[in-house]
Amino acid sequence: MNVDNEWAFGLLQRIAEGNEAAMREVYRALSRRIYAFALNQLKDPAHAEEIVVDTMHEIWKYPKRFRGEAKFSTWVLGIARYKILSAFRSRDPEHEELDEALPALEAGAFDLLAQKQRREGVQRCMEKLPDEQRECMHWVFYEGLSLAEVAALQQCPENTVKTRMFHARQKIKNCLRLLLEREGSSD
Amino acid sequence: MTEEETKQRFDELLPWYVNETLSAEERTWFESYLKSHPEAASELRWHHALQARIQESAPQVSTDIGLSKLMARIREERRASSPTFAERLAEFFGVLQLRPAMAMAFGLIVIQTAIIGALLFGEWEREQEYSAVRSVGETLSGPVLRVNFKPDAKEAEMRLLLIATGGELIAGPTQLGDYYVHVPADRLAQASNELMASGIVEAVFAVDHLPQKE
Repeated sequence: MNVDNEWAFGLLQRIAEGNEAAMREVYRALSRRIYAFALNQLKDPAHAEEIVVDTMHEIWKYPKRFRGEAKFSTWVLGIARYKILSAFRSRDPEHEELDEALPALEAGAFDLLAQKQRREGVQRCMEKLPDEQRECMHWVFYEGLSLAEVAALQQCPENTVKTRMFHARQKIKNCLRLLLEREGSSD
Repeated sequence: MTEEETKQRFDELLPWYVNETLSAEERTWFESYLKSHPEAASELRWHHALQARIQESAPQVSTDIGLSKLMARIREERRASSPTFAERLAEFFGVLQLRPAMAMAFGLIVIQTAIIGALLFGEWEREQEYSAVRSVGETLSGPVLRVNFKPDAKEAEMRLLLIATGGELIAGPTQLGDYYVHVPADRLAQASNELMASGIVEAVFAVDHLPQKE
């Protein structure tokens, strides 16, 4: 669904007048994306659903806060991010650090990895990333945000985003390689 | 730019080339690098595959997930924020910044003013009615009762009595204290009896017509 700012302003005006149908329309347009991000961060479906409700409730209470300086969807996801940081995100003491320090992949190895890596493997490796790197990967590859948008959301310089993406991709590559090697050795 | 710096720039731009958010200038540079470094194409393919796997992992949930909870929350807030009558009244006096005793005094003044206004308006209306009654000519036909009320009969009692009998005061009082009341023909006898039984009527006579104008 095309969620552009013009569409959003129209609905937000009606929401400001207490129109529940308009609220439902906004909700259905963005709930899945908020949920996907919240689940990416919290890894808990119940908490992720709570974040969706809390985020949308914020829009219901303060619809005039959206000024159109960013994309509406980015603004909403920013609210969700804030809700997650405020309420739930904590260091996982058993967080497994992924290794970056493996030999670089050769050109052919990339193709092999690309063919063999599966959704489950990618998901498993993503879950092992530190929160900020996993978040970065979500913004770039799931939401399709530009470098500037990711930096604005994460409230950090663009170079920091580039660094996080570099390390995240290295870790994912190596994680997937190890997974596939284990699978290969158990065949 | 050294080869190492060029490779670093390629690495930095790669994710955003894949998600198609590079600027035109950046995209041109990136594609030029790809042409001059064919081995980089496999890394690009891996990133496309990675993006595809990440997007495939989108949770399969309904767009209504949590919606009923939100609507319940909204409705609960609406119910909680609707003020009761007492609260609205308190808010009104609060706006006027009145203390409770002052608020009560103010309220009494408002009520008294309303009562006095109603009485004065009622008096004016009755004056209008009397003039209208006195100006009625003798053209009205049909059964008419000439009623003489007792000297101590109160006006309010007289009016209530007339309403109760279904009568309409059409003339009077004359100098002799006669009131002329028009009643429906089929109620003539009954109205006469009701008037006499009221205790405030001295005499009732059925007449054919109204007297000449005095």
